[in-house]
Amino acid sequence: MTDAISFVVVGTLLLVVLFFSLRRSLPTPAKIKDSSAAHEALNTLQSELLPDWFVDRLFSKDDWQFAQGQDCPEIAPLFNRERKAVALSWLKQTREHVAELMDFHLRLARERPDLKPSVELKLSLEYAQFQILCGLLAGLIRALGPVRGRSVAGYAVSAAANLGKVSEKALADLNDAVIVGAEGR
Amino acid sequence: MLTQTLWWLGMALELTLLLRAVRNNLLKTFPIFYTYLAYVLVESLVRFYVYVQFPSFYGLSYWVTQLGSTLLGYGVVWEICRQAVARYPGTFRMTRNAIVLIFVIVICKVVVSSLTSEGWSLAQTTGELERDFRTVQAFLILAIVGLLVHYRIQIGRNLRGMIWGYGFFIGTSILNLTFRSFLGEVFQIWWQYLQPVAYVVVLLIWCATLWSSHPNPEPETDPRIEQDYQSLVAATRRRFRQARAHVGRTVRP
Repeated sequence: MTDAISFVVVGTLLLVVLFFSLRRSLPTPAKIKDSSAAHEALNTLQSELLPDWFVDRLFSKDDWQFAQGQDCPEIAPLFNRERKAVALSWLKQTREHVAELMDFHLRLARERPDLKPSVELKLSLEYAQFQILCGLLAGLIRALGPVRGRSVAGYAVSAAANLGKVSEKALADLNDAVIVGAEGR
Repeated sequence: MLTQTLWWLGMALELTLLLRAVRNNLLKTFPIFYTYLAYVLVESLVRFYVYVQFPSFYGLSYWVTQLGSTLLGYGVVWEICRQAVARYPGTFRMTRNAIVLIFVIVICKVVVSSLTSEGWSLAQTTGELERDFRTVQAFLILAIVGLLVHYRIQIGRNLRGMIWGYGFFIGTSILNLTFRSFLGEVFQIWWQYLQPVAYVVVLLIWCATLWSSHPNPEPETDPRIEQDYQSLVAATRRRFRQARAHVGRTVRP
């Protein structure tokens, strides 16, 4: 019986995967088209979106306590609303930058003869982890406000930073390959 | 009556596909796939002859020829893999390794299950063997499709149709063979209609997508690497200039 169920699952999974994966026939254009744009996206991610002080400030408890301590009762909800919008916008931008870098990496990696399956697998798992954390964080921010999402934000930032490092290494490898290629000519 | 109609319809569609392939020069592009299709056409004719002349041998002829097409199916999967990622050397190497790994793992599992199973009948055992082989192919197709999607590799209409059709065939075969193996003779009445109907759907998918030649699009980023290097040099020089200006301002009294 268990065997039969597992075969039914495999057959159904294949049909579902084929339906969803091959339905999209239009090519998705690359957002990052060359390595200098990738370097810039990486710089923006590392220097503008992921620094600790920036994330600490965005999800700061002190700011929230300060807003709550004000005499005017409208200040705290207004602060919460605006900080929530800023945090969600930060999350969206971080996600977009990481997705663009990942897209660039994949488009580049697929043509490299020295593609390393273990690195690729690690990168894909980290990317999946980052996406899950971002989804979780977005839900937390929407449901509980930005202050309570600090710890998940920390995980997401560290996942994004890891991805950034791998991407940086991939870009360095590309540079080496290009330089070696140029010297060989 | 319905079974015979489906039978003749299937053979007519197979013949049409082969004639279109000759006309559009697709035989050179997909040699294994069309060999498979030609084999299935001959197989259908042989089965029909046996069915009419020696009905008592039909079961034997069915399962023996079916095993041949199942094994040829591995060639089709290999052709799909080669056509899809051969232009991407790294991805091709990775897909090939994944295919070999999956193949070895699942074949080991199949051999162990076959050796440990009890009872033997040609239909039951060959049916289960076919189901197991088809399951290996399902995993291989899943791996190929997964890598195509992951690495955003664009494929042409012909290859997409081949994957769609063959994947649909494998998926429906696994379901049919599993129900047949699990429910036994009760499912036989459904089996004789479901299997040919699914196969006719597969042939219609292939007719629609392999009617004319649609080669795979060329890789989009390959020639850009040199350009990348030039723009990288330009960007680095720009950053250098900015840093130099910044340092210059800092050290100036």
